[in-house]
Amino acid sequence: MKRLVVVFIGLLLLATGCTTAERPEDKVQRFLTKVEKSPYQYVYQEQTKGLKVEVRGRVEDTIRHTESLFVDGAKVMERIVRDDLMAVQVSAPDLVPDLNAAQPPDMAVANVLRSGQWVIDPAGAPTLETNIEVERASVGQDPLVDAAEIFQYMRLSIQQGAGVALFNPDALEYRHQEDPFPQPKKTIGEERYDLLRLPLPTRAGGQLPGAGPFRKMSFYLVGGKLVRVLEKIDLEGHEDFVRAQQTRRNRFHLELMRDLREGRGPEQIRNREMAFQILSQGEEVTIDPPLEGFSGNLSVLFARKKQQAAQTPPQLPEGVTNPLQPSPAAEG
Amino acid sequence: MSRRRIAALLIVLMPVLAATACRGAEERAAAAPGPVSVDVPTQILGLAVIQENVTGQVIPFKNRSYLDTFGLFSMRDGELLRATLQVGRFGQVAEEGSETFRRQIIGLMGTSSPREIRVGEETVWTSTASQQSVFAWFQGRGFFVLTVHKEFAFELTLLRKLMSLEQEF
Repeated sequence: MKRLVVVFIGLLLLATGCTTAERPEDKVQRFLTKVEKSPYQYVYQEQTKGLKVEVRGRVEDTIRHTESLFVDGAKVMERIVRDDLMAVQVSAPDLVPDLNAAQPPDMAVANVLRSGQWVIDPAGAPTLETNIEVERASVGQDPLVDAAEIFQYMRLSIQQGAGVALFNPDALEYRHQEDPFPQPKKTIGEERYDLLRLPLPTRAGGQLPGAGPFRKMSFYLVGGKLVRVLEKIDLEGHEDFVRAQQTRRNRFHLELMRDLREGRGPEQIRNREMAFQILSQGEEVTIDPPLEGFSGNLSVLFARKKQQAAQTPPQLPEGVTNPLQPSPAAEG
Repeated sequence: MSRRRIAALLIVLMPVLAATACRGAEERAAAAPGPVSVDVPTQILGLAVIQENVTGQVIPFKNRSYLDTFGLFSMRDGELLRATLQVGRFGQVAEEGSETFRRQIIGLMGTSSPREIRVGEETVWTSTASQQSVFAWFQGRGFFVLTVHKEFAFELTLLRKLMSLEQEF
């Protein structure tokens, strides 16, 4: 009996030693990858001071996707990206300043966009950015890019954070009053994983921090799938800065906040609330170009990715007609 | 195509040719990679496709190599070289189905940190080199590297068309 007990304990020790628990950040990365490797539909929302932006997207793969842009609830434009082709239709031209600022030779395209028709640029698709640092620096400049590159952004945020942890409201360091996000819904088996923030520097002389200490990000999983990601970046709302302002005792933190507000850190910290909700994943998505459109250069709205050697007008893809050009049958 | 040009284009794939399996398997007969037979059309997106003669350009290796066949296709717009497609077939010592092996091969390419994207159901690694975009993917035992000059406007359309070609390895 004694020998049997010893063998059993030995096997138990061996079993626990052989299994390695998956780190929370690896688990989150795995679920991010799972969404990226399949077609999916999503809603991306960003709230900054005075402006709410929403992008509703459908993704077939990395280079075939479509987005609808809403600003403060009003639809502004729709964009289709299909390999090298990009097509845009503008619904609210007054909300697109670039159209009003258009100069020749972009005037014809700008006028078509203002009329609400599709403009198709066979070579106008945005560049595939391979430099993640460049992407991070440009967040906020173009919500369509921010939505399309959201997974790169989330991955970099995890890399530059202090780790990921499973949400635990009973943890000693958890402060309910400082938690901007809803608790996971246990009734549906929802799990929440929180990005751990980098600490603020505690004394002068070191490098100024970027957005890391001010970013709260949480990943929600249900049934083995990522369903939404919430983020809040709040420079002035950091609890250490709030305390410093209330007590006026921590001069270092007050000066640090001032320096970061004035943009002296490695990146401009942009306060915002972001929500990324995945509506479906794995279901077939097909991105087709619009059936009719005006062929034109969309650099009036988006920087063209290639400098073409010849100034030949781009050719419409097969099967797409141009309503502004009469068909041979009509001319005959 | 000049010999110097061919040599420059082979830089991307040469590390893969040079990589050797270091497992303690029995010694295999040394064999230099031979020419690959790939069904690429003679015209694609207005570019003339020519299979380049790389015989003699590839240094035969006495050790085991991951690739046992290799081919190079140039795609031209008139006299202007717009893209190249380098094709290799993994030999028996390669573990082409292994994710770790694939990442190691991609890491050998020597370009800037490649980004992983999805084209259809396939994974493609993309990066940039001087004045060109580089795309690499695996299909069965095949390994493909597409380089496209930045002046060619339809690199992604070209990529998808080449990925859809039927290949037998």
